[in-house]
Amino acid sequence: MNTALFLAGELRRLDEAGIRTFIIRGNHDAQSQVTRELTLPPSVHVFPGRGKPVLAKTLENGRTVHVHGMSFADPHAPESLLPHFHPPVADAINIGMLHTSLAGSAGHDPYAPCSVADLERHGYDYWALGHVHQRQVHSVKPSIVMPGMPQGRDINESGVKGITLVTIDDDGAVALEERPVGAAVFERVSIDLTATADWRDMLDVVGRHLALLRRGLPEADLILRITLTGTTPLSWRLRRDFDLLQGELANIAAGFGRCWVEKVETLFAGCSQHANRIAVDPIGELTALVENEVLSAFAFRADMRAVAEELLPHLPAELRRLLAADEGMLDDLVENAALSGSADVLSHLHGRGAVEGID
Amino acid sequence: MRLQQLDLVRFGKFTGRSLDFGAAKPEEPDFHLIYGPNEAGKSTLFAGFLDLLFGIERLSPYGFLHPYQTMRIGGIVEAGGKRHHAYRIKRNANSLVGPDEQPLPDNLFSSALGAIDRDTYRMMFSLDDESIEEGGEAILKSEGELGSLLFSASSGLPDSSAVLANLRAEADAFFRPQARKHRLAELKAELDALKSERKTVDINAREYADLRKTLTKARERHDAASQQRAELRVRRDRLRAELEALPLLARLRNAREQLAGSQELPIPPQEWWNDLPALRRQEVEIATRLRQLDEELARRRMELEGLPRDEQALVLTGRFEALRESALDARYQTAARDMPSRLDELARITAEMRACLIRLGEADNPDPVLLVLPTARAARLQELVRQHAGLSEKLASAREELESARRDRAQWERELDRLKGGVADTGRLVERLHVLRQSDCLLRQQAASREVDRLEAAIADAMDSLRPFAGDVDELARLPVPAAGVVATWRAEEAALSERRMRLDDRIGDERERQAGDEARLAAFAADGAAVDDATAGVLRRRRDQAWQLHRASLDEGTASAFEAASREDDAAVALRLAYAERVAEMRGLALAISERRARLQALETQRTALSEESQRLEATVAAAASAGGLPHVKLVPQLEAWLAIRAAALVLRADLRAARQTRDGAFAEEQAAAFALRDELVRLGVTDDLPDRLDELLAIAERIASHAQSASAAHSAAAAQLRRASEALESRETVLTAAEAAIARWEEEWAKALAATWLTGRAERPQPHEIGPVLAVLQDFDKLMQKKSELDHRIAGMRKDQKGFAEAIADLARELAEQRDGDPLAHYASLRDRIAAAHHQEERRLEGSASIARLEDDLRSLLNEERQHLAMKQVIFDFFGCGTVDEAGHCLEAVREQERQRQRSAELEHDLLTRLGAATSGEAESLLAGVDEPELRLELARLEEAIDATDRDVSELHSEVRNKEGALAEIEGGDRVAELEQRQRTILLDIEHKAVGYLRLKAGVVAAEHALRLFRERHRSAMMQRASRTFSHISGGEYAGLSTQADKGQEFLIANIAAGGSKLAGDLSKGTRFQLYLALRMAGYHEVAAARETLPFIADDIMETFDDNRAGRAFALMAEMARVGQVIYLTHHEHLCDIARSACPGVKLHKL
Repeated sequence: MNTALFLAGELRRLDEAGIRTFIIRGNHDAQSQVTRELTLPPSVHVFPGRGKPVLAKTLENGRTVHVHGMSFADPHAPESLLPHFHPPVADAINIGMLHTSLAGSAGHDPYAPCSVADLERHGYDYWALGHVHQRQVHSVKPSIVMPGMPQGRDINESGVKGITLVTIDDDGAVALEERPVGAAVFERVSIDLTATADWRDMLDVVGRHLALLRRGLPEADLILRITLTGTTPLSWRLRRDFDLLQGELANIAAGFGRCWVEKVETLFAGCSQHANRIAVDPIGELTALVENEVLSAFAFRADMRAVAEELLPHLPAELRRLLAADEGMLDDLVENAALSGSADVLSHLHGRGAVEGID
Repeated sequence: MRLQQLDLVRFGKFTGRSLDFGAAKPEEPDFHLIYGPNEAGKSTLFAGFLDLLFGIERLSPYGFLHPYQTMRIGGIVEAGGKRHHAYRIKRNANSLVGPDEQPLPDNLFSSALGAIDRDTYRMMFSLDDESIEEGGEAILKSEGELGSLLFSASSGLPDSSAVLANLRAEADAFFRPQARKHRLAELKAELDALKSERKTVDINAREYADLRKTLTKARERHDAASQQRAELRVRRDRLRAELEALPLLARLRNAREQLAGSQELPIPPQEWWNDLPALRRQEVEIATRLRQLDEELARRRMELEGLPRDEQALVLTGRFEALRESALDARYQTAARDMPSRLDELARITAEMRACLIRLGEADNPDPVLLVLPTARAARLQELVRQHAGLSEKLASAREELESARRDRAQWERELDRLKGGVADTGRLVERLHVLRQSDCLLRQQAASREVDRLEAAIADAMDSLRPFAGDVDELARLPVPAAGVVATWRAEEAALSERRMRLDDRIGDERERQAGDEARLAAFAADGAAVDDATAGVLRRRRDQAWQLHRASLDEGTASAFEAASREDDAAVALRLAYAERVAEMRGLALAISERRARLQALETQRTALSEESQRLEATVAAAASAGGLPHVKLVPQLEAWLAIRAAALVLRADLRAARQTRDGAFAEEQAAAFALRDELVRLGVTDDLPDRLDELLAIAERIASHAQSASAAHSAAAAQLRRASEALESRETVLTAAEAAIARWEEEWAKALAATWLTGRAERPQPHEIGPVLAVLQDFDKLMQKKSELDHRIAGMRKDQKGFAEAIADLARELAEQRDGDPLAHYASLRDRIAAAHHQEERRLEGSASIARLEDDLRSLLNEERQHLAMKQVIFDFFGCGTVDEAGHCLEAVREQERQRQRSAELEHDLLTRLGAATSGEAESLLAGVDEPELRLELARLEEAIDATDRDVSELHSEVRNKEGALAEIEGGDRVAELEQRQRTILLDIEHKAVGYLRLKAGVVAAEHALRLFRERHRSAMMQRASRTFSHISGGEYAGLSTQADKGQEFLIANIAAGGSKLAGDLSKGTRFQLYLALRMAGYHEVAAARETLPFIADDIMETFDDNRAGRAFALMAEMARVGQVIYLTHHEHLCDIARSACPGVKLHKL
């Protein structure tokens, strides 16, 4: 309820500024009791399930502007809603609002499916769509725009997010303008460390990458997931002194202002080739033993499986579903843990003298 | 890898220091002991070696003497079978350079180093007191973890078990199944707290709707109650107003009555209230001032009467002032004072003038004034005297210089005569020399000779390696050899053949092996007899059938029993075969397999024979080709190829040699030609004796001659130039002398002319120029004295005139004033001055008095005017009120004011009443109040007050209720609190996920490492333990028999066996012994590593601090054993260790820092 009230408050601000608001309900708020309890300001119009177009404005040259919209009556809408929309009002500017998954994508339920071609044919000047989180301009004339979302929620919704400001002039010409409004931008950045042999050089390389990235993005908080890749002699150290690495990278990021590191990942190719080449050294031998003998041994796998099964019941339920929903996921989890974990631990056995060499 | 030489060019405290470890000798241990006292730079040495291998560290601590940019460390390193001489410098890229400063590849040593980096090197191949101590500690810590101990010993990592334990503890800190307190539990508790907080903060829609409904109801009730209260209050206020209006009405009536009772007075102008007191004040003031002015006038007039005038003195004032301005009195006084001194001065000047005359010898001259010369003439004479001195000096010097110029010229003439011989023409010689110097034929000749020698030697070498070919190079060139393509084909063929043969051999071997196995198995089956093979069964059956045939033929007892026996045997065999049918089948199969293999073997053998024939054919072809080239015994392609390659190289050398010889011959011919030409030239110049043959010597002689000739001609032309200059100088001197003599003659003439016009000509002898000077000076003095005298005479006369004039003027004035007195004119003058001054003073005072009287009279007139105005104003007021005095007028004004005040109060009361009752006119108000009964009104008021109190309470209760409801609703209203809680919840979930995955990784990693360490232990236990046991026993001098292990509950403990019997756990050993145990393990590890890879130099830095001398000696012996596998360098600052090491290992090489 709190969040809904917040929304109402913000709508009131629009009302005070003389801006009218048109709302359609989608799959998530189709039957929401919460929004029904809200007292919305008079300038806000919520379209019902079947409704008439609303005259939004009459332009100076006498043309009228009509907004057509249709809310979901049900969280599920497997059929197209397009046939229920009124035909365009003649000699007027027609704006349509529709919550739709368009052609949809595999693995997701269809919501009011329809095709861009159908929308084009319907004869409106501008279609304001919603549902998909990724911005896409499907057509310019007529304008059919999926504006995406104003703010990404996590690293899986990376990139600059914002709104689309649509301006329609007296002649009905539509101009689209993308405005980044997100307070924070999530970005994945992959940095190749091949040919970087020194800790300081590594920091320089990362610094250069981040500076480039920071310059190319708007003035919003930047949240980064950094992936270090490549073949480098530093890979042992980066694994072993991972805490230090995270701290240093966070520092570098902080130096650019409004820049945070969400997570650092290391993906170093060719570790096992490396291991074979140096198998003549004790450490290399140990590495080879781990990779060739231990990881594939049944006993080890059983042990690890037991450890994971012991841990899972103690985790919060939502996390349990996320980590190991079924047997296959559990196996993957254990295997990944064994692979990267053994590399981590071997890196600790690789030597500790280098820690003194940081400065 | 081996370090042969370490050059500390600029590193740490070293500059240009080099350590030579020498070449390795196969039979000697490669063991080096470096002795240096403390601070000698032993650790610098090790760091330097590491820097050479891995690059100078970014922040090297060894840049204190030589700055980073100039640091340089180098050495000769044998690695991967090659020898590299390299230097490491501080640079970002290409930091490895050769002795010629050309960059070397950075990975020069990587083939030998493999994956070993700087730190791994330090761990695996070096040992110092610190690491040996850590190693001893690690033995204690890894109690029971033999795998990790062995791993630590061979990798040098001090405590792998501690590392694993730390990681395990890290994992346990997040989660431990049995424990209650761990990070996961904390995070979960935090999550629960957030969830419950959210539950309290957030609210669902239904509750929200209820809240709003109750709020609306409460508001309605509150509004109704406050409405009621307001109505009551209005009524109460009305009653109160009426009650309060009653006394007001009474007062109003009273006031109205008073006003009606008094007579209405006229109202004077408003300003009179201010004017009247002012008038009263003015009246008094004017009277007082009149009296004062009258008194003052009388006093002033009296004063003026008492002042007399001195008319006589005032008349004379003008003349006296004129006298004073002429300043005659002052001049009179000055004359009286100066007169005597002026007279003295006059007498003195007269005496000096006489003296001058005597000096001039004209004492008796009656008119001395005539002696003074005119100024122009005197100046002319002086000028001539001065000119004379200059001219005579010039004349003398001109004569002298003329003489010296003559001498100069004579000398240079002699010099030129002397130099006339010895000048020759060397132009062509110099030219030729110049050309020859540019020719490099000698150098070319030398270089070509060297090249020829080198090439000849190389060809000889090549010919040696071409044996048994015995001809010379030219024959070699003529030999028929197979083309390169043909040889390549042979090589490919040979490779293919050998490959095929190898495969065949493999297969044959394999088949034979299997066949042998099968045969053995078959034999074993047969030998065990349990199964009867087919052959035996066949024999038995045949024997039974034969017995049957016999028996059928005879049918007697004998045959019957024989048949029976045979039959039984056969039955038994059949029974057995039935019983072991499986085995029989197997045996049958084996027999089949054996025969199959035999056939296959035969086929393979045939193939092998074909192959070897083919290779023989190839060898024959090669041998034929080789013998054609003079190589009788070569059959193999590579041999032939190698020989051909050497031959090709030799032929290239031959071509080079030919070119070199041509170069040399050309250069020699050039030299001969040059020498011939040069000798010709020298002969032409007359140098004939002992000319050498070699060109360079000839060149030297020619150069010497040319330079001699050049210097001689230079001297001659210099002398000629000097002579020319000397002749010119002589001419100019002669001209100068003539000029000087003419000047003197001109001067003499002028001198005579100048003297002619003066009295000096009249003197007995004509004066010389030097005599005239003093005479002129005396004449000047005389002239000055005469001027002074006439001036004095004039001044004395002036003074006397002044004195007389003053006395006369004073006498005149005195006469006018009738003051007849004799005496000093100055005293007279003073008394006159005083009298005139007194008269003037008196006159001024009189003028002042009359002016002030006139002023006072003016004041009096204006005052009288003022008095008249005052009286007029008073009269106006008196007329208005009809009274006589100012005081009476004041009383009348007061009465008027009082009446005005009463009227105003009545109006106010009336207005007040109207406002209180809300009536329009006073009549209406009075009628309203007329019907009011006061006590009843008070009773009504009290009742109303009570009702208001009751509603008041209601309203405030309802109000607080509304407030509460509003507050409850406002708490929900639109904040981002819930969103924030949600966000924190998600953050914690992410954190848990991250940590849980991390936990699994750590856990898996640790378990994997432990598994691997166990495998490592299994792999290396026997070899390493054996060696370590032996080594430890040796170091301890037999005190310990060796090491063994004991397994217990999945762990394996290391145990030291005491020679005298008994055993100790590693933890029970003394510290020193534990170090030795660690050393023994490390040595075993070193040998283990050395077996698998190329060793790296092992550096030990004073690790025997805790060893006694005997154990140290034995440790050295063991190190020498290590040194047979790889290079071992021991650094120490104990001198006695050198001797111990030498006696323990005679092959050790000592180095001193």
